[in-house]
Amino acid sequence: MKKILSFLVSVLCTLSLIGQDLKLDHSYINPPGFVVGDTITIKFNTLKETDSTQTLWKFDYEYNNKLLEKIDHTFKITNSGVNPNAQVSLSHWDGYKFNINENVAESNLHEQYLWWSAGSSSAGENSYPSNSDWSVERVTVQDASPLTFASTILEVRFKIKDKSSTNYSDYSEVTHLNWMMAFNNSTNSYHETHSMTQKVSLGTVTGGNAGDVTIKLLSNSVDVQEVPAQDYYVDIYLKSEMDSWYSSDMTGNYPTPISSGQFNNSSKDFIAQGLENDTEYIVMSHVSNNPTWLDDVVTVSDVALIFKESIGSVSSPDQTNVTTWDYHIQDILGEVTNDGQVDFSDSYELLAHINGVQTSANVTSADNGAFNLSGISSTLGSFEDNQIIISQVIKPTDNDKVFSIGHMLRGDVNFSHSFEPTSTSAVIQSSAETTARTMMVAGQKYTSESATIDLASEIKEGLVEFSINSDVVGMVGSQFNITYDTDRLTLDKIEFDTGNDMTNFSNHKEEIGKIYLGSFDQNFKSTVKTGTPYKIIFVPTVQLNNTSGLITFQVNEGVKQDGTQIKFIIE
Amino acid sequence: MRKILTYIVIVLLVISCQRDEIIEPINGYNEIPESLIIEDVVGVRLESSIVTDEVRMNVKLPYSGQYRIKIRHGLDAKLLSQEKINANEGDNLLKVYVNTLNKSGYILDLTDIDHKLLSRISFEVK
Repeated sequence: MKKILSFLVSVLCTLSLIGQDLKLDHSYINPPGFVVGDTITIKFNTLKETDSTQTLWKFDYEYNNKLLEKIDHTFKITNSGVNPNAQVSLSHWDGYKFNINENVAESNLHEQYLWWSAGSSSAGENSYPSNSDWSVERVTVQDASPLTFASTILEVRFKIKDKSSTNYSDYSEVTHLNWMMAFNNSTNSYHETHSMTQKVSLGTVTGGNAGDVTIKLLSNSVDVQEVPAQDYYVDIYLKSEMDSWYSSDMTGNYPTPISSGQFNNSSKDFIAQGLENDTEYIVMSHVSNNPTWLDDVVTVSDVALIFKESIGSVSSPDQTNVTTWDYHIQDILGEVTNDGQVDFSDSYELLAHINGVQTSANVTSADNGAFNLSGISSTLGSFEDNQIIISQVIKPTDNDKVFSIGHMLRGDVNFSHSFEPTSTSAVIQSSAETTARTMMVAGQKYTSESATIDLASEIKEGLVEFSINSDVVGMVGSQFNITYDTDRLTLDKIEFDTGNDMTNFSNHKEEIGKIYLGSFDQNFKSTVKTGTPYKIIFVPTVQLNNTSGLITFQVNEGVKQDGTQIKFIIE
Repeated sequence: MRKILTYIVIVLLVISCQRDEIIEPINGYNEIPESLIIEDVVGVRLESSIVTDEVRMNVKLPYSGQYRIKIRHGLDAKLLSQEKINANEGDNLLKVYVNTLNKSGYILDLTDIDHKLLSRISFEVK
C-alpha cells in the first residue's frame, strides 16, 4: 500500500511539473515562388510561452522525400553563440511516417511524444509504420546551461523535386512536426510543447523539366533489407556510341556517360538529365565503394542452394537439363569461380565466405566488391532462344520517362539482396525437385520464414557469457555474425552444442572484434539441436557491472532443408 | 578448537548464502547522482542522451530479480544487443557501452525476464 501511495504521489508530482511552456516552429526562409530544382532552407526554432528553464530538447520531424531531396543541415544554436557549449545530434531514417495519436491534438507535441515513447506500444500500435514516401529526422539538443528560446536551432536545406513522377498533385505538405520532448535535467520536469507551423506548404511550384528521366532501382536489398539506395550508381550511355565501341573490338576510348550518379537514398531513383526523346540509351547500375553490407549478401541460405544444385548435377551426370534452380539466371549468379558451371567448387567458395574468410573468387563481399548484373526489370532473366536476357536499353519518349532497372549480385542465388525475376519465361518449368517454391509465381518464389530465438549476454562467475538459445527445429544450417567491444572484452572460447552430426564453423577476427559462427550439414540430413547450441565466453579486461552494448549481432539466419531462408526474430 | 570450528561454519554459511553476480547495492560511496535520480518506482535513465564510448545508467526496479536490457534500432526497433542482469530492488547504477554501435539513434528497453516492457528511453550515439 505504501508503495502504491508513493507511486501515486510521484505521478502527481510529475504531472504538476508539466506546463504549457513553449512552441516549436519551422518554416522556409527563402522568398516564395519556387521552381522545381530550387534549393530551399527550412529553419527550426522554439518560441517561449512562459518563463521556464529547459536543458534538453528532442524532437522528430519528417519530410516528403518524393517532393524534397535533402542536401545538408547546419546546427545554428551552437554557431550563433546562443548555446555555444550545447551538445547536438541529428539522426536520419528513410521510409517511415509518424502515426499520429488521433485522441489528442496533433499540435500538442508533448502528448504526441508520450504517445511515441510508450503509448503506442501499450496500445498495440506502431508509432512509426513504414512509408517509403517519408523520411524522419530526430534532433537532440542538450546543454548544462538553459537552452535559449526564439533563436534558430537548426537549418536544413532541400532541393525541390519534380512531382510529375510521383503520386502527389501539389506541395501542400512537404514537412511535418511529429513530437517534441522539452525537459529540465536539473528538476526532472517536462514542459508541454505545441507546434506553431505543423506542416510546411510550398504553395505553387512551377517548372518541371520535361527532359527528366526517372530510373528506378529494383532490388530486395533496398526494398526489403533497407540497404541505402545511395550505395548504387547508374551510368547512362548513348547506345550508338556503345555499339561503335563494341564494333571496334573495344579498342577505342570507352564512351563517356551522358548522365550518371547515385540513386537517391529515400526515393530509390535517379533523375537523369540531358537525355533526348526517341533515342536509345544503355543503362547500367552497380554498387560502389564496397559498403560493409556486401558481407551480408551471401549467407548460409545461398550456400545451401548452391550445394543442392551441385549435388543435383553430380547425382544425375547424364541428364544435362536436371537442375534444382527455379530461375535460369541462378546459373549465372551461382557461378563464382569462372569455370562456366555451378559445382562444388562454387559451394566451398561460398562456405568459406560465410565463415569470414576472404575468397579469391567472384563472391560478392565487402573485400571482393560487388559483382553486378542489371537490366530492364520486366525482362531481366527471361529465357528466349536458349539465351538468358539481360537487356539494358531504354528509349525515353514524351509519354514514357520512367524506367525500372533490376539489379542482382553474383553469389546471391536466393535474391535476398537482388531483384527476383518477374518474367514468366525466367522460370525453369521442369525443376529437378518439387518444393513449395516451384509452385509459386515468378518474382515471389523466394520468400523467407521467421522464427524467434533468444540472444543475450550476462555476467557469470566473472566472465561474460553470450548465449544463443533456439527452439527452432528443422534447420540444416545457421549463421551468426557477432561484434564485441575489443576495448573491454577478449574472447575466451566458443562452445557448440548443435548435435553430434552437425558440422560447425567459427572464425574469430580479433583485430575488428568480429566472430563468425554457425553450422551447416552438407548432406541436408542433420539439423541444429534446440536449446543453447552456441555459447561464446569472453574475459572482461576492465571492471564490469553489466554488459549492455558490449556485444551486438548482425547477420542471424537459418536455412531449412529445401533452402528456405529463416530470418531470426529476436524479441 | 570449538570456537574455530564455529567460526568456519559461520563463514561457510555466509558464503553459501551469497547470490551469484548480483549487482552491488548502492551505498554511500556510489550514491545515485542527481542526473540519474528516478522519481517513479520503476524506470531507466541515462546520464546523457548523447553518448560516446559509454554512459552511466540508473535502472530502478520494484523488486530484486532477473531483468533484460535491450538496445534497439531507433525507428524499426530491431533488436541489436541484449543482456540479462540480476538486479536489486531500487536503484542499480550500471553502464551502457556503445563502441559496437554505429552513429545513429537507438532505443533502450528495460523489460522483465519474460520480455514485458517496464521502461523505454532513447539515446543517440555520436
